[in-house]
Amino acid sequence: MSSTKQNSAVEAVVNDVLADLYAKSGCDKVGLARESFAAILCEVGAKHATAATSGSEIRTFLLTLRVDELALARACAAGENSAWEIFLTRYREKLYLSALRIAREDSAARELADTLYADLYGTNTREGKRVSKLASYTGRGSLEGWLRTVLSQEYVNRYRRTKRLVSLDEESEEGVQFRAPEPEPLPAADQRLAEATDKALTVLSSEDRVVLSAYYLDGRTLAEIARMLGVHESTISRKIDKLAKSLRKQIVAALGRRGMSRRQAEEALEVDVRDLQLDIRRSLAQESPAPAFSEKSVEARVREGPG
Amino acid sequence: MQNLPKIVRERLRAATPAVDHPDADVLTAFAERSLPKREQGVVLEHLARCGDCRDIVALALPATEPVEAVANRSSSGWLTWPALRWAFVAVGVVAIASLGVVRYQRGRTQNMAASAPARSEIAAKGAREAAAQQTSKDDYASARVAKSKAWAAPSKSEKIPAPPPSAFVDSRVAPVSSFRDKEKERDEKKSTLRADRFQALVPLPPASTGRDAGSRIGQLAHGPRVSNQWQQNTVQNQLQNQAPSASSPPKQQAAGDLSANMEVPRASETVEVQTAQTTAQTQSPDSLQVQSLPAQVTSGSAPAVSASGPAPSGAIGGPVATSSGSIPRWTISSAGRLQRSFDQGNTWQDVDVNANLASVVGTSLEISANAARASKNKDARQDLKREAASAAFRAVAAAGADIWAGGSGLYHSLDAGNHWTRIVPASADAMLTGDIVSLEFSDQHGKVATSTAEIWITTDGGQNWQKQ
Repeated sequence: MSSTKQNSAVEAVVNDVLADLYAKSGCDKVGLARESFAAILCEVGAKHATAATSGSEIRTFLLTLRVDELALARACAAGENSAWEIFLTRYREKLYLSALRIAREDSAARELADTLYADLYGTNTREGKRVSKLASYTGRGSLEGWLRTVLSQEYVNRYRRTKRLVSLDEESEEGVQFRAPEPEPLPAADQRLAEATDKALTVLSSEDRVVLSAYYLDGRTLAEIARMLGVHESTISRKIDKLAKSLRKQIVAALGRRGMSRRQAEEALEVDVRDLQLDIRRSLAQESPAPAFSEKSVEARVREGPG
Repeated sequence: MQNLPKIVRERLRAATPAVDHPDADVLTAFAERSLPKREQGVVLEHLARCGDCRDIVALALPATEPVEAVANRSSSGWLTWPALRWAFVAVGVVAIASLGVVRYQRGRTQNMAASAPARSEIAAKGAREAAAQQTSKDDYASARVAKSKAWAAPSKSEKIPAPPPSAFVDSRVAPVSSFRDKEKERDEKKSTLRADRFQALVPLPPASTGRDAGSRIGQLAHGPRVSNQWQQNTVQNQLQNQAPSASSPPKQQAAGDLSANMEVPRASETVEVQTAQTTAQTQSPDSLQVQSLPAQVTSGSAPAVSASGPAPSGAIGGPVATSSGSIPRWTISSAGRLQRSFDQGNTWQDVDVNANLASVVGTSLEISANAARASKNKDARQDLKREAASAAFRAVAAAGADIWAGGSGLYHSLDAGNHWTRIVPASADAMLTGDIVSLEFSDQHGKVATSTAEIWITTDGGQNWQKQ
């Protein structure tokens, strides 16, 4: 009921701004009818709107859409040849260059771009209809940025994950039948330390956590993080420094409150549970005359850690 | 960068992975900062927990910005110390070099007074050298006549048969013009046409020839420089019309003037060839004919302008130019008087710049005569004259007929010293003071240095001055 109400509210706003947006969109160039365009706007607006969204918010939202690129993408999704010509002229080269930048290797980049082209064209069918990925573009960001994001998603989904996995061939080569069971996540060296750390982390803002994760976990450069968040590189640098110091301070303080001396707390922070784990494994491997599994898989598992 | 304790990394990584990933649309809008604040917070919260989405956002960053960053870094690199160090060295070298140039120019300016006569000599040398070498001092005028007659002959013999010596008749006019037409049709060589044009448009600079009787030769419309029969005939026609001064020497010398002054590239070549042929043709019968003319010249009356016969062609009969001999040499005597010589410096005559000061009369070339007339007629100039008579010159610069002389005043002549204009360099707020010690003129550009260490510059032939 409420969704019907929302839809009618969106429709009213769309009818209000349709003339303006239609003129801006250049639908006639890409062969998109006015009615189709109105339907697209309604769909995009309804997707965005919630029960709490007011009419003026919907209006603002619709007016900030990139309607020209939205019209182009949707016309392509509908299979308009003129729209495809424009699309390919504008984005073919950029798409390949983006793929090359993401994959950092020519053949992988070509494969990535080709896969995306297939998705964009809509080789998959649903209920007998071609489904183009372009139909999911809603014009909130630039079409070029959206294409890069989709490429990145594709890359992360396909390449990153396959890299993390050990291939079946590798597994059989290395004796999957003798593979040791997944190691139990080791209990933290000290439960108090884990608690103190979690507590210190929870008070961080999401942006701070993004910065810390991107820098320490993802290995992003300061420049990359700065561009992701739209701030200056030096701001990120200062922020990371400040965060690391304050985290350490807070954890040590929390450990102190839990009955640890300062020295003990400092030592606990420096100890790496993975180092302990590795040491145990190594000592175990040294004791047995022949290793039960190859060094490589051990290292892989060690790298993955308990998480 | 601070090292983050490994336990912290572990707990960061162990954070609950987000399940509901934002759309590519939303991630794009987040990266492009086009999301509303509320949605931005939601996306950030997700990114804090989802490594994949962080990767996607990082990978999808546009490629252009790093290029700009690199460009900015490289541009700022120019201001780094190593680059600046070399810049300082370069600035030092330039400063030393410019100091050297300034000193050199100052030295040159001071040497100019001495070198000016030599330069004027060089300018005239090309035209006069050959003639001077072959001139007999004992029979100067007749030799010149004979020679120039002979000078025209070789050209003639190259193209058409030489006319008989007795062909000094009016009927020659017709062949002349017909020859001219024929030649034009046959061979429209640029040199010939150019020479014609010069003849029609440019009044030749005056000079006097010889040292005594020869110097009485007055004004005439002399023939073109072009070495053909037509040219010769022009002169001959003038002779036929009893112009006492219309003898060949002026023609030859005028040709020399043109060669030197107009700086036509071919001119000097022409003169040399003609001179060489002169030697061979000196004994030609033509010369006998003309040799009788000096008698007329010497015995004839001085004013020559009205006596110039009508020229056979329009080009020749143009404005009556004051012409006489070769380009004079100029010097300053030890007493500070301005002197010129028409015979390679064998004899020098004083030039009174006030004789024809700003005069437009110009009917006679005789400077002393003009001076006498001027002194009679122009009382108003007496003061100036006296001043100039007592004035000592210190520098002279000659470029063809364009003469600049300076000392206690600056004088300028456009006609090789026949008429003078006194020029007082002054700008809006200053006037030249002191004596002029050096002059440097070429074309319209000139530089004057004074005893009071002032330097005045003109770029328009003395109309406007600028003090440096």
